[in-house]
Amino acid sequence: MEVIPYFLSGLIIGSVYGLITLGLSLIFGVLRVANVAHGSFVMIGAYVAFFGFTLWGAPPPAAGIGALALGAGLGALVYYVVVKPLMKAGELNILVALFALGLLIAEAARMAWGPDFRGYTWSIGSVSLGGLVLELSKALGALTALATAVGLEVFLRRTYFGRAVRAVVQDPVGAQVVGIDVERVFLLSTAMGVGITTMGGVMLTLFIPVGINPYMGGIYTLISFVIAVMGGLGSIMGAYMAGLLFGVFQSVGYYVFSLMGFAQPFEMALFLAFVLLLLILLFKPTGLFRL
Amino acid sequence: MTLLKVEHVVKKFGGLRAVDGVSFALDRGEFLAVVGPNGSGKTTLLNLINGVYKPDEGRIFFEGVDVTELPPYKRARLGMSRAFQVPRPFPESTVLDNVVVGALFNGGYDLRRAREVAEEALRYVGLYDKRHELAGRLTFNELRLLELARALAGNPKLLLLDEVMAGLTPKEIDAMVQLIRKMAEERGIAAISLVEHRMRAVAQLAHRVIVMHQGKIIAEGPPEKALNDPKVVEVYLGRPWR
Amino acid sequence: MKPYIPLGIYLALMAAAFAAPEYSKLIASVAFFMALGQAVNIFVGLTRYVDFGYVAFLAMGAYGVGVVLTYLPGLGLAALPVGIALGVAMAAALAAVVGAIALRLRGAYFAIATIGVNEGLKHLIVGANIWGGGAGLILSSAMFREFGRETALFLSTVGSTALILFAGALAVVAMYLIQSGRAGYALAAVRQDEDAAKVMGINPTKYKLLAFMTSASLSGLLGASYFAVGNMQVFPENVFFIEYILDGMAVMFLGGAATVTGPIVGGLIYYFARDLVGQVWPGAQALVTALLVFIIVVLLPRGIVGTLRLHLPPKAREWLP
Repeated sequence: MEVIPYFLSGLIIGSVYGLITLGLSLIFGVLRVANVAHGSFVMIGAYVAFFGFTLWGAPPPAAGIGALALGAGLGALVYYVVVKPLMKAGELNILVALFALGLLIAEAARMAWGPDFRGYTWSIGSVSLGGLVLELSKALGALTALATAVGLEVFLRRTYFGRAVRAVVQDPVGAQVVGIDVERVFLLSTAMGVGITTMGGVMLTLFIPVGINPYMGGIYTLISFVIAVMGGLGSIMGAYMAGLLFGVFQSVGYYVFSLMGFAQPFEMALFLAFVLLLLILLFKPTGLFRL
Repeated sequence: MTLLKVEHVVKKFGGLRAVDGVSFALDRGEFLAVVGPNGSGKTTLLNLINGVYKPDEGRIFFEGVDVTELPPYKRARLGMSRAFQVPRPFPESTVLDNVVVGALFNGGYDLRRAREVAEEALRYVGLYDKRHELAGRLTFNELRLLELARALAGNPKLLLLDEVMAGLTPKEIDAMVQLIRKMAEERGIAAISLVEHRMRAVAQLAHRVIVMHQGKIIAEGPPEKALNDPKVVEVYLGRPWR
Repeated sequence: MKPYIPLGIYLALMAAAFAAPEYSKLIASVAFFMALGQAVNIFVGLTRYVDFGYVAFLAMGAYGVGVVLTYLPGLGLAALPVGIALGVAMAAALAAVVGAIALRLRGAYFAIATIGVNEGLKHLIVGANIWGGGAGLILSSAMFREFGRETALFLSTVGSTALILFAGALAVVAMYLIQSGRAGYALAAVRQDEDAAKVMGINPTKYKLLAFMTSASLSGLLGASYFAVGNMQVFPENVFFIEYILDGMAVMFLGGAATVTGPIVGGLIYYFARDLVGQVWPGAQALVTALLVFIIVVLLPRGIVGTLRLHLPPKAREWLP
């Protein structure tokens, strides 16, 4: 069974795909705002990992923590500068402003760090698993992703703030009436969402040896939205599970396309991602899972 | 002459039977008040009639045609007009343009005729002088009148009025109810009006009253009879009226 | 509304392009932004929906001309109208497919659904290696062969400019026709309150689709004129370049969404602002574009013409649609 290693590696990278989608889904669930600047925060995380490693020798897990903090700060900024002032002006303005913000960040990154593709290698050994040589760094990335998803879910279920968030998701007006500071929930959700996304960008670099560049975000915006919609927009565990599914889908799809030989497998997998997005929105806009 | 026939409709939300086997018929030009406390199912009933919800059981007939499966905009074109509880004008359009929309799409007039019909409707409700103002600048009472004009311009056979009196002063309510009754009698437009507040003031001018409680009709008939039905009194006051 | 001022501007620019061919490239660059804003406005301005995959319509137009010139030799001068017609038809067809699926969805969901359209199609063309794949289509030799060298060069300069201006003028006419008829009332209602519009007998999807397909067809024409005819080449990296949608929205918002004259004012300012930035801070145009859009959307959401119209008496407003 040659396909098994593809399946396994799909699960591993899918875990990280799930991670970079958590924040998007959280923000949509709470604020009903589609963060179309999403990919640019993934990109920032990737650069944090790259510079952390190459300049200071910081291992990616340390960079992940740094990126979480940095992203949370950026998220708060985004909330105060974009989302809050534009809530009244309407959806179109928020979407366009966020889209512009995404390109703004990408352009600023290009001017600061140049347009080149960069990467680094963090090697901590490997194990053989079902015909797949699995690098431990990737396994660590996948496990971090799993831990974050579970942690976030537990946080939302067990803490006061988490309950407030879920109350706002279900009924923003009602939440306000029972004394929840909705604006604070918005702020913290945006900060957490962007923070997790940026951390996801760090973990992603373990899988893309030379893929770090200012414009890498666009493709992850697309992938994340496909996954978020698959998982049911706003659902945390749904997003994570859909991430796994998407990883497998992409990896096995790559294998199938390379067998067929007429097409460039990576490009085709991305085309199918877009077709998938349309199909799910058409037939099952509430997502594939009910969690 | 039956205009609307509702046959044993049921609408469930989860375990709750919001509307539970309601049947009634409405004649052309009849002004019907549906009375009931909050949560009695009257808004759901209205949404079933105009197609925002589809019933889980039962059928709805409009002019003898089964409309149970039709979407709201198609029912609107058959002659059902809806005025919202909270007025929903198009705030950045002028008062006249707001009414023209009703005449164009509900009424099915061509553009030139739609403008004439809209102006006439504005005269009828007394908003003609404000026709060039942006709808967003009207007062609450004027917005209610705008809703009526918009519905009227659609050349409706049936007006569905969702608590249109709420938030008005007694004097404004009186004028509004008189206007609805006048529309029913002069133009043969049937109306179903939901009533929760200031029940007597509104219901007494209706031709007929239906009282709803927990999704069911508990009393029906001319205003005096229905409102004084012992079951109704019990629902509203908790014990028999003495 | 009276469409004479915006139409007059396009006609004057067209006359200028013929009279002074040496300036036609400059005029084309300015007019491209105007016409793009104009076309984007018909959908985004009239519906307040945003399509992040919009650039695919420009690409479809460009590929229409590219495909006819590359794969259907021997048409002679007819290759130009046939190619443009194919490009416009492909753009309209793409809008019909995407719109039929996604326009039933509300705002944010529609935007999400469109995120992948542009990238998805680019990856299809590159990945499946169709229509020249990643290498694109180079049209100069085919144009020389079909049109003759002199005509081809004329078409790629003055001809392309005239076509771009024609697309802009056509967009003004389309906007005028939509705004002054039933569709204008329907779209005004839908963009202000879709639920209320539905209850009033309006089928929202129908009118959104009308605006979407009109807008897409005009962008198809624009893509064909600018990339294929003007640059004599169609590269996927070029014609699917995501920032064009930001350019279009920058022009639209700068001038004023849902106004007719807005995109002309916006396009003019936008072109010269970019040009200026390019001179004092080369390479920063895209950064400034994004910043500009951001600032306009936050601080001047009605745009220049939109704000101006608010303060004009009704008579003057008629003349500045």
